[in-house]
Amino acid sequence: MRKIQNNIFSIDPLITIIFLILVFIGFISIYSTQIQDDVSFFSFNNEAFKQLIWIIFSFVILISIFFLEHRFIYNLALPLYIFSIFLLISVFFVGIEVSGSKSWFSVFGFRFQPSEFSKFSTALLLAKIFDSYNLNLKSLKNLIYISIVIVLPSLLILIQGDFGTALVFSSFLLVFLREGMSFHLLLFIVGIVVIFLLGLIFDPNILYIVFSFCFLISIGLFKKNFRNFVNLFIIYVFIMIAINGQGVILNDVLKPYQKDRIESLINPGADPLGAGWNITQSKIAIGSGGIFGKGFMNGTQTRLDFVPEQSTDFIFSVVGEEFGFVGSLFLIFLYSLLLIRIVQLAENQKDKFARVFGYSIFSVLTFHYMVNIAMTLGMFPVIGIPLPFISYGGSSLLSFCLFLFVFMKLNSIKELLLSR
Amino acid sequence: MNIKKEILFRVRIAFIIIAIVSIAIIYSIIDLQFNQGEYWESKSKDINLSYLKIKASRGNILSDDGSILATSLPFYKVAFDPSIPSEELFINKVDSLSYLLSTFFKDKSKNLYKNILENSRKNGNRYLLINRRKVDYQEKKIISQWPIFRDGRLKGGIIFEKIDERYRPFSKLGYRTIGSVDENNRGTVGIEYSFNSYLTGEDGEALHQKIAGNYWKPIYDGTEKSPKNGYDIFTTINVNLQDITEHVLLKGLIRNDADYGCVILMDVETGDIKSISNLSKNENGNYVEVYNYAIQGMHEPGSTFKLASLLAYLEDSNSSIFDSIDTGEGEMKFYSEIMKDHKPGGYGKITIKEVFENSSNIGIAKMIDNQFKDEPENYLEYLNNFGFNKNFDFQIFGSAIPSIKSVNDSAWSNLSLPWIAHGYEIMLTPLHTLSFYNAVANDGIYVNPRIVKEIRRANQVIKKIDNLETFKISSSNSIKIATKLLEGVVQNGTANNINNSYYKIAGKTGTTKKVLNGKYVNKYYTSFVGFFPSENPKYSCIVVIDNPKKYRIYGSDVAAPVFREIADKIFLSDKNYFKEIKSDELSISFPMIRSGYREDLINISNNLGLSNHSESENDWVKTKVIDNSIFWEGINLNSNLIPNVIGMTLKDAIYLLESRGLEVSFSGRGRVKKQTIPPGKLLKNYKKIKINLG
Repeated sequence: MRKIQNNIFSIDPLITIIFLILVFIGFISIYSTQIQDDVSFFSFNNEAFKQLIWIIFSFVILISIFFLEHRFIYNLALPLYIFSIFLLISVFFVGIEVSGSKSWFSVFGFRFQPSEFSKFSTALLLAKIFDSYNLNLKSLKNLIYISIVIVLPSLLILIQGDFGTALVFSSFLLVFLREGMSFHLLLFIVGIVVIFLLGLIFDPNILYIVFSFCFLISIGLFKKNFRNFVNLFIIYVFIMIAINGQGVILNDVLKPYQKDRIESLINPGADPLGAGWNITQSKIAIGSGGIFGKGFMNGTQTRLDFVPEQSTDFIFSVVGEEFGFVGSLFLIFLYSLLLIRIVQLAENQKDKFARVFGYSIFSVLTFHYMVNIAMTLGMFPVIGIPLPFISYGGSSLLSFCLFLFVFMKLNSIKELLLSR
Repeated sequence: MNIKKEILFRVRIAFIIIAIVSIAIIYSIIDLQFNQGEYWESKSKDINLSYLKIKASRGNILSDDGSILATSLPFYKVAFDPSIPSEELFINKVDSLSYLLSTFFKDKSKNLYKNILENSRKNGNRYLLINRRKVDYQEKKIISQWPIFRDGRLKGGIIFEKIDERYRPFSKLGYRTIGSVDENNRGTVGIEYSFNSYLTGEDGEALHQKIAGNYWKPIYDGTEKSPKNGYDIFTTINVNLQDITEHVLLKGLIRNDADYGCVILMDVETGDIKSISNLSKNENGNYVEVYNYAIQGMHEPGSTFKLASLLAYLEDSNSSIFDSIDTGEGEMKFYSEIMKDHKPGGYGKITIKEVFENSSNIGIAKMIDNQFKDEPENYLEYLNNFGFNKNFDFQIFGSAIPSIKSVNDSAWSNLSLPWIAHGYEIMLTPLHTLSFYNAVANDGIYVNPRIVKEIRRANQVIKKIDNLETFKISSSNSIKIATKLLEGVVQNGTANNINNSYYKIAGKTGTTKKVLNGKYVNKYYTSFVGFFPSENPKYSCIVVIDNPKKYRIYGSDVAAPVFREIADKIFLSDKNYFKEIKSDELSISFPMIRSGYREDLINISNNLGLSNHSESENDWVKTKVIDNSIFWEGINLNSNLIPNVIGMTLKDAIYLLESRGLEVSFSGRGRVKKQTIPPGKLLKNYKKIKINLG
């Protein structure tokens, strides 16, 4: 057996380089947003300084991961998951409320968000379950069982009021798809979501009529097959619920400001000072960037703090304004390269644990990166999820680093795992 | 392998979806930065930012007891951007809006309003001033509920521009002295003008960002300079005394059908002007306050000046007031001119006392001419010492300086001395005459008159105006004699018509022939100046009434009764007044203010004599009552959070919330009891707030 497990040079160089560049871009962008505040860099009021501390802390963790026994990771999956659920529950009692969500711990001025960590622990447990039991996802029963692993943390996060992070867990569907979930089911879920969104735009009554009409035609087509008829009927009931359900979600689940954000996406001009403010300002920042941008620390929107939460959720607008089209494209290129490389490595894994974990990180990263940029550009409702490795925030940086480097650790010892 | 193929297929589908989203994102960036780039760039440049002025509130003018004589209240200009409402809204509602406008402003018909609205919409007008009349806050609330307007600034096009208007609670009382302001809130006359720099304050500025619809959104980035409100001017004016003098003067003017008149009432010891009234007849025959005769109106003083001559004579000679003077038979030639006395046939040989009491021109002129004709400059020196040359560094700009000839003037002749002696050939303001009499009342100690005693910012004194510079105008003995003679005028002399048994008045009448086209004509300038009660003088007062047209023409008949009435009323009300205050004091309870603007609260408490202490420098405080005193505890106001306005007055609450960009509606009266959005919520998530008072 080759002794390679503790060799730090066996990690994938491409991913490492991309990771370092992304963290660097993130740091200078945060630095740029802080410059107008007239606080010393070496101050805990300066987000850039705090981020630097988090970056150093992450590096320490990363290096220690490489000295971990890989079995330890494997065995830690369930305890870590339970621990993260425990944290998610205890945040209700000892957490503090930030921007309308009670989802933070505060320790010595550093704030930590357990929901970020739970993405990592959920992925780990998923990988372990897929690895331990040879699950057939064609079976609806199995699918429901495994879904509990995902639904439990996401439900807790939803109750905390963090709709965006809860939504991130839906990206694990991609993992299921890879591991054999019925494609029809995915289409069904996507369809329901689309109908839900249609319900936001159109009058529900019109949708009732349209879908009832489609249902009747379908019955006509499938009248000879009773089973299809039953299936159709179930689908029809789901559609009716989805059309109705958006009213329930809008009024009962979503907070007023989240509702405003969805409405402002549909009609951004309606309220330029309120919910549409973030998007409009972000668009001004990116739109005024041009090809090469206004230059580092020269963004007027950035300097004057026009874009709210610019160092966190709207960090892409800094890149867009200060580094322009070239900078934005470079960032997207880096992400694409990173994601493709992750899938490539995941597919190369002989071990199911590593593969499922690889797909998990791929799914979560993809969701974060796309939804974040899309909402900065005004293509998606503002749901407040960070841009991985770039956005300010220790919990998010740390959990993505864990994600990425545990996978790279697993990758670096794939020969070893094979011999397990 | 089938399974592997299927998996590959799925993975590819997933990739295709991701690829489509990526392309959409890249397309969106291209669209944003290239296709729409100019638009967004222009938006970011579009004089995006500007430091806008935040108007400072003008300071108050207060009376001697802290009553407000002039203050600033918010009013609103109502304007309309007719291009904003949608076609449908405009066409449907323009009729009812025009009707409401017409019934509210009552100046144009409904159809005329409709025409104006429609035409300016057709012409693409972006700003239409609905009416020149400014509305107050309550009216603004009503108007903003009208059709079209109720859709707000962005959809309904209604524009309310807040303007501070000067408000005088006592309306025309002391109008000319308190003064007035122009459209830009700059003082034009009176104290408003003289103390404009103190009252104005310093405008603040804050960074604002321009956003769609020409709307400016404040940016709280820490660079804002908060406005410094103007200082408060504490005057010596007493509202009650001002009211008395103004009414009595008006009555006197009407009774005599006079052209104009003025009264100044002065506190003997301090020189504080307790009231100052100026009324003149306008073309409609009404008496209004347009010119400050009291301090600006120069005139030959006439007989009232005889006191100065007498005092100079007493000081310069060893004569007794019982020495005799031959005043002849009512006419006497001084050099080339004939001087007359009022009494036909003259007074003959009389004592100096009688000369003064009967106001004999010949007598006083003879005394002065005899005493000073060799060295007239000595006489003028006495006048100087009496304060007649004084250019008051007075607190109302435009106060006139007396014009007294000097011996070296080309206009000086032998005639000058006898004529000045009885109050001609010199020009004085009523205030100068009064100040001299006040000095006599004050045991010969001359104090500068003052009308503003303090300039304050809340309870912090910025400037104190003390009357430390005093001087003695003559020996105490002469003053005693002069006082006796002035009492004699009222008891036995020209003004015996105002004598009474309750208290003693000391004073002197004056009647001057007016000059028209360089000739003395039979029109008169009458005055009475004196002090009361003469045993222990509290107030000195001058009454001037110009050109009485009824059968009375002399100071004794015209001005003296006005003086008497003023003195009577003050004498009567003085005791009662203090009694009333005492009983009132018992019923005052602590005002139910729980939080508000620190300076206001301190001001109120100080005025009510409540012990209060500040623990904080914050502008906004809440109260904490410890034993019998109040402590002001600072409220920290984070500009990003909804503030706590519970317990505040409506004014403070509205100011605080509106300054944070919230739209405020309220119900009830009293203090704020409830607010719909709890404090501490993020401001940017809300636009409207409702507060309940009770």
